[in-house]
Amino acid sequence: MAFKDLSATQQSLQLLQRSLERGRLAHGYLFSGNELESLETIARTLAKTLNCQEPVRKNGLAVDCCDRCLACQRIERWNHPDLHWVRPESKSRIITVAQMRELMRVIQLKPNESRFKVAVIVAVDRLRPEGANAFLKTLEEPPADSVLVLLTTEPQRVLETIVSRCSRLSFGNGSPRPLDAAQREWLGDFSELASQERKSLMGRYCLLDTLLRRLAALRTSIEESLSARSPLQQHQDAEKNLLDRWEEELTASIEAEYRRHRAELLGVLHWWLRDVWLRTLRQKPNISDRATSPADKPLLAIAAGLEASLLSFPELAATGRVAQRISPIEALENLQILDQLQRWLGGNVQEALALEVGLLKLHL
Amino acid sequence: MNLTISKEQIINGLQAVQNVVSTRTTLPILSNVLLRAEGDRLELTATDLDVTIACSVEAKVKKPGASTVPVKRLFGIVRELSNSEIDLEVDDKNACSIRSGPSFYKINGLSADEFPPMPKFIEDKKIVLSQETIRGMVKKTSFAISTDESRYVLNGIFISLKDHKMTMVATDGRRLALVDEEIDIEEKSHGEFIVPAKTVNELNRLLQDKGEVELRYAENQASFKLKDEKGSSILIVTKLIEGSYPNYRQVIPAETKERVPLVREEFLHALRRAEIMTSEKSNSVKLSFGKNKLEITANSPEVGEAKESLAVNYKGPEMAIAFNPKYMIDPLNALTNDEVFIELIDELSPGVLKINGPFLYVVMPMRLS
Repeated sequence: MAFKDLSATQQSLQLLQRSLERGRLAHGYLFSGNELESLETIARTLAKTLNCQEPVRKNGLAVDCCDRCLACQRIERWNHPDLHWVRPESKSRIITVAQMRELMRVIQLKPNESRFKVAVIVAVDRLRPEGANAFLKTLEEPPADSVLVLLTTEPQRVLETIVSRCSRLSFGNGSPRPLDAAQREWLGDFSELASQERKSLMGRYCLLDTLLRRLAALRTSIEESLSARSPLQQHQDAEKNLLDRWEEELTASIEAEYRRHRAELLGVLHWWLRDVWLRTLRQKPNISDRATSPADKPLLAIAAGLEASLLSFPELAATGRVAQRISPIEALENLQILDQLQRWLGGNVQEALALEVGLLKLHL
Repeated sequence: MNLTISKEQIINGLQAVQNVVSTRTTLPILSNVLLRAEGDRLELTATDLDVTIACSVEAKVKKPGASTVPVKRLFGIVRELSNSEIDLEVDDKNACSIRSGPSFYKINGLSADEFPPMPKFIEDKKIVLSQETIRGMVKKTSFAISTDESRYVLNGIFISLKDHKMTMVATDGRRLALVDEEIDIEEKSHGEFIVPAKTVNELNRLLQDKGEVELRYAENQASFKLKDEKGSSILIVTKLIEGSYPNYRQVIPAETKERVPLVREEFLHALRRAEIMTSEKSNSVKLSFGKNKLEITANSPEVGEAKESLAVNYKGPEMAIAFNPKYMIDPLNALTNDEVFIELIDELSPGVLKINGPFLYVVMPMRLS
């Protein structure tokens, strides 16, 4: 995909193209946005433009790729020797120090065939402090003609020292990513169920059940798609230790991918709870006057004039029913509980326990 | 592909190339060796994408062709074979059969087309020199290569070709080793580049005392073609380190006050013994120069102390200077001359080690406490 095929209205894309046009590309970029896939596409397009054999030129400088030449095609097929990808691969979905060291080594060597070396670090929020610290010096001053692109969906979780060394470009627009059909259906079911029950323990475990079943389905589909792509399927006659390593890599990547999807699913839930919160603000200005602190007053004033357009899922009727039952403070606490839950799961806690505690705490 | 080869020849070839095959690779083909049979030679190639080594050995080729085989496995088998003649045959499905006396093996390989192609050199920048010369130069500098990843340009040997001189430099910021040899270099072959430590290790291993080296280089890579007298050859192609090497000339003292000749062996052994009495905390040895004598002392409270006396030809004022013993032992180990010279200015200025020849070593002193 070339820059011209991407939505041209995005200001960040225009900024990026303008720096290409002026030959003033930064050495490090932090791309943030709603979904890693689209950020990867942008990073890949940037890499293509830099290494394209017949680029679209403006003032003699490449501003877009042709998307047809050999270099572009190899980048598309993940097969270019001067484009390096680093993504969280270990079981706990972390980018390891070893991965970063390896990246630093190849960046310090001269390129294979093209002029630019491009390194893309996917989900840089999963870089532990050790890896980040090892990387700081290279990020601050990479060798000539190298571009480091860091991608993240959660810029607030990226270390300050990393952020300050990059040019930040945001490709998100502050709204949730569009849901796919399965997620929409699941959220519908979940919210419907949540709106029915009040405080019964049984009801709460029913909710947990829908969540766990969805997660299990996610894991199965990830397992299927990743196993099919693994070299284990293609080279069954390879050496024993190589097979073992692939096996290990496969389980690690399944786990990593599952964690990403789990975080995404909880993210959807987060957006829905935000809807609930917004609705509580609108529906009960009188009650909330008493219940909230004076500092929230301006917020309430804004909320009073809220349009349905601010809601992420206006079509869900259950949102309103839940919102009628709880106070804005409780709704706000829900958001904090979910944030805490995400943080627990990002660490190494037992999944079932964390989810159970999280769900039981929610005010619904 | 079908050929007969002597056990000695194939082992030589595999030993030359198999070191670059790394244990952790993402591409399965990188753990294989490329076998190409042509004329009366078998060419073996292995690569990790940064360094490529190709070695050609004699063989009786019945049917030319190419294929790749897992190198560790092939080497394991041929090393243990009892017979000295080996028949190698590779079929269309890249299955490699090995026959030797009573033994028969079959290894599954991969197609030769999948093997990364050898980088091409378009520009004609090259020099030819004897293996002995370049071996000596590499040996006299490689020990000073830095291993600090934060200054990656220092993780290799800097080679400069200009003004009828080939210069090699290695430094880690605390010491610097430099060798320059007079060599005829054509105008068009002038230039400089940094060869990574991994390649330097391979050179150290593969360079012999006889034969010639053809060194070629381009913007991003360099190649060393080692030819011995018997006609077999090894080609090492390497990527280069990005970046510009620091201006090393400015750390070499222009003028020194004292020049002390020393017997290398004697000095080296005294240092080695004194080093035993150093510890992590106090890792320095003190060299005290007095009239016609040198005293080497090491002292660490928790270990003990050492004192070595050497008779030297010294007429200057009394002077004491401390060094990390390892930084003195390394160059003395690499040299072969009987006599070395230490040149000093004062106790806080860098010391210089020289020989009667094109070698220079600068080492920073340690503060005397």
